[in-house]
Amino acid sequence: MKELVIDGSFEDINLSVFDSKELIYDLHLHSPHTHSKILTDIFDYAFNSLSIDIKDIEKLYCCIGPGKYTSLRVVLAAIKGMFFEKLENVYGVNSLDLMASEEFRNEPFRIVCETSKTKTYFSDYVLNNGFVERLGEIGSSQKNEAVKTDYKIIQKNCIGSVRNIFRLKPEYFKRVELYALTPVY
Amino acid sequence: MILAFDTSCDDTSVSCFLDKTKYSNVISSQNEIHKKYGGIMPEVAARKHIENIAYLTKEAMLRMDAALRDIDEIAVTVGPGLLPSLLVGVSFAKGLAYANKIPISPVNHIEGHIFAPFIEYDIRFPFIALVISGGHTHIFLVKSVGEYVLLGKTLDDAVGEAFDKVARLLDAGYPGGPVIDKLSKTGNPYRYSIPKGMENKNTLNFSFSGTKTFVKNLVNNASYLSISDKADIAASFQRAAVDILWKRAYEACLQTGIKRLAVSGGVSANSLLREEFAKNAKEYGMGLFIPKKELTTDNALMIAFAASLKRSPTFDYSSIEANPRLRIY
Repeated sequence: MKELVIDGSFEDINLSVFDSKELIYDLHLHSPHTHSKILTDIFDYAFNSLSIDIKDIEKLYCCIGPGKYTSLRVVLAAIKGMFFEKLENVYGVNSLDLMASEEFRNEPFRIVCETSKTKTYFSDYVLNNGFVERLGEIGSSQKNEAVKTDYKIIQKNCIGSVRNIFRLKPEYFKRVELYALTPVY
Repeated sequence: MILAFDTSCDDTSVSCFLDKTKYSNVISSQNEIHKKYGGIMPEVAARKHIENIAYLTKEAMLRMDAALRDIDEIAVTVGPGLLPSLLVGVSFAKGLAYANKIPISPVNHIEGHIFAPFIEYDIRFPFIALVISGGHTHIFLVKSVGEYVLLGKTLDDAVGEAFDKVARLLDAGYPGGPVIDKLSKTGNPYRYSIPKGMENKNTLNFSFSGTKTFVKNLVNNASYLSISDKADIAASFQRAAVDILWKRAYEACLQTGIKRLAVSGGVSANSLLREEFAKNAKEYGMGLFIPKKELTTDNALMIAFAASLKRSPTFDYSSIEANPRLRIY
């Protein structure tokens, strides 16, 4: 079963394809202000490289933010168009969770992500039985409040890769109707 | 069949177009949302587009009993307009086109307005096009599809923008066009002598900033404005705007020797404008073509129709880009 993971919530595009949970394709591209222009080419390149078609994708995981508003909308709009009337297995994934999935430390840590001058998101995580697990709800506040913690703080302003998505606890993948896929602002 | 999208400003619209008699045209207006701001908030508009676009696509296809396999071409507005809004429509259309191997046509929003009257009328080339809306006030000589000569344009506010601002000054509501139209019906259009920007200049350009400032001063200098006063101001403003629009459009026809005038864009829904233009066109023996009211505002049907005339779809999806300052001249 082929599963596609896509993220364009900041200035990068991350695309990974899994076959029965095994990573078979992974792409990271820095593309500030050009998501709209290059997205179809990226999909085309990935599908051609794998000799697969869009109809071979059975599950889609899409980063819904928080992140840059316009970048998020461009990717979600393109995804809605691409998979329109094609796919029901669509899951929204939070960008902080994806950032946490890239961390391989044993002690608890806090992801802090400043998405705008007035809004900073944060969430605490710990490694538990091989899964990255949240220690509470994802919060938002001013930046000075977000960094008040005893945990190791990891500040991020982009997602480096989505290849480790399945290190996240499965309940963090929120099933959504494709039509209703909208960003977290 | 052409599946078309327009998300250039605040309305999300999707159309399935087969021919002039068989089409769907679904529009989701955001007027109620932007009313509280007294104008369009680009970020809010884009958020509504991403929420609505897939549902409206389904609806437009259902109304034509169409499936994706029936779609031969996709058309999308690529500009001019608000960038965050344009990007939603362009990204969705490109994704849909790519996944279904359908060619895509980029359409200029103004071109859509220019050809909106064609959906009801057969207009012979060349003709004069007056495009009047919240974002545009242009006069073009249209020689053929894709061949446009700009004869005049606003040097400041678009006429629809002036309607919005006057409505806001009068605390009359939003959007300005319909509320000024309604308020004017009980007003005296000759009570105030509202300046008609650059009226006596030998130009086909427009200016509405002086008109707006005059109304602003009128309102600010009044200690109290009754409903009747407001109606008189609205009617006087509307009369001035319609007069200058006709004057310039008629001048354009005279200068070019063309007696066919097509009027489109949201402001062409104004009832005084439709009456006055019809009366004047008859008097001067001109052909006047104004689309029915639902085709005056932003809609995807006009985008589909413009694409059907242009016949330039491409499979080069990465060449399709949103351009908020796209020109056709």
